[in-house]
Amino acid sequence: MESGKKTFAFKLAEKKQSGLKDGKWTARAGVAVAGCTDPTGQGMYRASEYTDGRPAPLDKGYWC
Amino acid sequence: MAKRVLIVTHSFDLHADLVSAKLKATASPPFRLNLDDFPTAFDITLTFADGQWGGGLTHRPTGDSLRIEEIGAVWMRQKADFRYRSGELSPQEKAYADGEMEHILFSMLYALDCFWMSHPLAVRGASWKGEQLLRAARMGFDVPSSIITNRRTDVDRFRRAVDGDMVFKTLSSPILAADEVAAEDRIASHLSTTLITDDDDALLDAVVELPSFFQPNVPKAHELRVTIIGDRVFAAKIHSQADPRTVIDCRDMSAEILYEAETLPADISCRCLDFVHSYGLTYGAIDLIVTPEGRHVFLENNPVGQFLFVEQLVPALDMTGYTARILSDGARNRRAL
Repeated sequence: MESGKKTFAFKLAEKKQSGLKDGKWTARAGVAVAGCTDPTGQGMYRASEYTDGRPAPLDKGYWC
Repeated sequence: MAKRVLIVTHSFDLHADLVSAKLKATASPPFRLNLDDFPTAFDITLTFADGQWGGGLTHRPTGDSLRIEEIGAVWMRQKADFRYRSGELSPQEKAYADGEMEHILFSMLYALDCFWMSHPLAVRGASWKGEQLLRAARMGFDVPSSIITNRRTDVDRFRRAVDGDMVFKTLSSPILAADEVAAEDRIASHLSTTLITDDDDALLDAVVELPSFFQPNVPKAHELRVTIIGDRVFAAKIHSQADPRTVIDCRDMSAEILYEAETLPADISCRCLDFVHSYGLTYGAIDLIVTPEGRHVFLENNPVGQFLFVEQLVPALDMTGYTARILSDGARNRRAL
């Protein structure tokens, strides 16, 4: 089935099931994911919004 | 005049929290500029007279003020979107305001004569992975062959030529720019370094849409995260081959693999220091592979990479403490303008 994704990275992410829209980077107890902090306090270490809806300052992986 | 450390970051930066606490124990308490509260929570007045800039910042909730001439060191930690008192700026007003704020921020920062960790120009210049590979090779690192292409035939040729398997890596964003779009427009969350198998053959036609980056899958005994802070080397050995989840990409933190302090061979240690310093950086986080034959293979340098996760797993590597020390020393040793 045609997914509509055009780029290799997105097609690959879809196939590997790592690119799910709601996917979360997994955490290790007491350790931030790749050092990234959690702006939501809900384990979304790369979330894009604070719990109050404000956009969160993401590191884009660039900072990790 | 007592010099202070300016930390440029956002309000949820745990690294800055911990280093700030250690800085407060010194004679130079830091001033933290959280960009996600700027300008909302800060008053700023900058004045140019008699050939120099003056004025400064005040954090309105605490009343803490920082004069330009007090700044002895700057720690450029994290970026964030600016925030305005009115959350209802029109798109064009918001775009204009963001442009003005960026101009104001960097006008202030670039005018400073102080200790930097690290200067934004150095960070920008050090950020391009393709250039990093070339520089690393010239400095004596073992660097994997690599290809960036939108020609399917060139991918196939590269794959046949590599001795073993091939991996795909994102260059700019392992989270596939998920942070750049609204939640409703998000169609993927991330992509780790991924082994390309025969099963992925049909997907490779998609490189025509966007040039893509491939390298051989370098055999690993273990990996190293080498964090350079000033003139010190903090090396962590990552036993990434101990769990199938981290064999290809060690960033899957669900696997509780062992991290431990490592003493690098002297030549590798010096090369890492030289590499980071060659950009004018005072900080860098280098990822290396150690092959079963003992070769040290360069992957990349993160000029503002994270280090707290390493310290949390290897408390002997006191990078928060040393960062506080180098910032404090850097601020103290600067002369007034």
